[in-house]
Amino acid sequence: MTYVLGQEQLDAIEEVLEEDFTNIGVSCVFLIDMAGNVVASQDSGKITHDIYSLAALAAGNFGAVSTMAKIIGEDEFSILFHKGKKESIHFSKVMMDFLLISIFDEKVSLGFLRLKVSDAVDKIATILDHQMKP
Amino acid sequence: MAFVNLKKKEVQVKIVYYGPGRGGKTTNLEYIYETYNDRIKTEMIAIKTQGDRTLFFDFLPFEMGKIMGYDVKIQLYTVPGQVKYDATRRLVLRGVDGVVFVADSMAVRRKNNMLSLKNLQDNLATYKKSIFKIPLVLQYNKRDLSDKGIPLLSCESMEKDLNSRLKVPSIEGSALNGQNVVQTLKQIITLTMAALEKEFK
Amino acid sequence: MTEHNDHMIEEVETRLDEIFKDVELPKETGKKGIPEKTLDPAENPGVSSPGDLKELVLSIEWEITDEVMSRFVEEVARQSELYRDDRVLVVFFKMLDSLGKYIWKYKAGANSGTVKVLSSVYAGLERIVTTGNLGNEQKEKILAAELIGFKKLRNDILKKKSHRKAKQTSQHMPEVLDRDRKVDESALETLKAMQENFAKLLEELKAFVHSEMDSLKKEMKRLLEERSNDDSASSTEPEGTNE
Repeated sequence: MTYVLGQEQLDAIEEVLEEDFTNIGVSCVFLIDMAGNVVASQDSGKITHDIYSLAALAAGNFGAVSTMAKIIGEDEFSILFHKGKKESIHFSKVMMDFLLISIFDEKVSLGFLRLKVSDAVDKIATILDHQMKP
Repeated sequence: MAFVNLKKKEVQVKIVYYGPGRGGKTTNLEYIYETYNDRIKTEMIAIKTQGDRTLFFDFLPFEMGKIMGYDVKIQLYTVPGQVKYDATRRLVLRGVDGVVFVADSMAVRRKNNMLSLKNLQDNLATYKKSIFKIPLVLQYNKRDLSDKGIPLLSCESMEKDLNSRLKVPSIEGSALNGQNVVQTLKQIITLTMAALEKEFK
Repeated sequence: MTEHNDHMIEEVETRLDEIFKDVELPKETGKKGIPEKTLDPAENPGVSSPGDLKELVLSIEWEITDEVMSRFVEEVARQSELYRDDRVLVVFFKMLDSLGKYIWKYKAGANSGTVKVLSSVYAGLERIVTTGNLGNEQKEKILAAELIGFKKLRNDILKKKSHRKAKQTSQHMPEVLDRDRKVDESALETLKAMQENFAKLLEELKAFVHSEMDSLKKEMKRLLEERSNDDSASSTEPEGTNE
């Protein structure tokens, strides 16, 4: 499926990312497509990650993990999350074609983040559904 | 770096198909998989986008059987060729023993070939490997397109662009039709095994 | 060595020829043979977790669902009943109950620090329960520390709430916060009572020490006097007792 996103949609998505994530202490959050292209991103300003490489690797990682799931007979894994000492990274699928990647520190609990992600995914899906389909 | 299990007498060898996007790396593996599936007897893994572009890697393992008393397992990988996947390419290149550089013979892809070869050199260097020393074969792919009237680079010009310093074996081919796909593979495996044997001596 | 190398290469080449012997080439090289492993849509339900309180707290740290929160609140109520005779532990359970219900009700709308406070309160509770001979003073100290965190969270929530109210002119106050305040007030009362008891105890201890010191002084004085009397008695004995 091809998506065409106008500036309005992109602004709306960035607003969701800022309200739901940056304001609760998530250091960096970005929405990518399954090919690893960055659609929208927000960060707290404290850290400057190379989100373009992260995006490509995240998409590859998600793809590889999904393939592993199928090999073991699962449709997919419901949690994809990598825990670091200071920063952790969480992946969430948005509809069929996008991934929401959140990078957060130990001050944010995963359980709470996942609630936020779930909310944000619904909001973003609504925005994407209203995009112009060619 | 080849993985040797002295106890089981096994050697695992990693060969990576490298090259510009849409050059024919995945097609090489797909041809091998489809044509020799009954003998290879393993599954091919392809992690790709909805648009059929390689996203992470393609992977095709197969067993060569016993060579010099060791069970040799070959692992074929392809990398994503698109420029933006450089970090991913670097990852897949880790531990490589031999490389097939699949160059695109289309005239419009001349620059892409050269940039991709330079990229290979740079990425090998991150693992302290030299493009001048690693077992390497160049495949000039898509030669079949000349029948369709698409402007192709001559093999001479491709040699000049890509092989004037490297001076490694180069083979014309067509991954879509299977022309010289197996020959390329045989060549790289032989080169790689010879290099490994020297190294382990 | 070259001979050996050549022999190996020959073997490799022979083996490769065997594997890749000519086969009838298919007319079309389609992609049918390769299993499609591109991404499929699927949504898996969340995690469900077993009963015990610690496991439930860990589950909350991973995933917050209605099921987990309901089990958590139930388990807190159950364990609160078991420990109803311990005033300190009762306060812990009240805090956990309050936090649990708040998270359950507000979910993504809850204050972002709530889960951390819940984990911390649980950790305090666990410390008290699992450490064998913890004195009342130490228990109260642990409770006081957790109450500070709990109060801070409550104040954060109220502050944000009042900001929102100022924006929206809404009069709504969640029941949970009211109950929260009552819990906090009763917890504060308990703390106050404990502080008063402690002060009283301290006074009694002081009085006891003073009285004991007084008795000791008196006893020492008596002993010294007795001794000096004995000394003076022995020095005034008459001469000529020798026969």
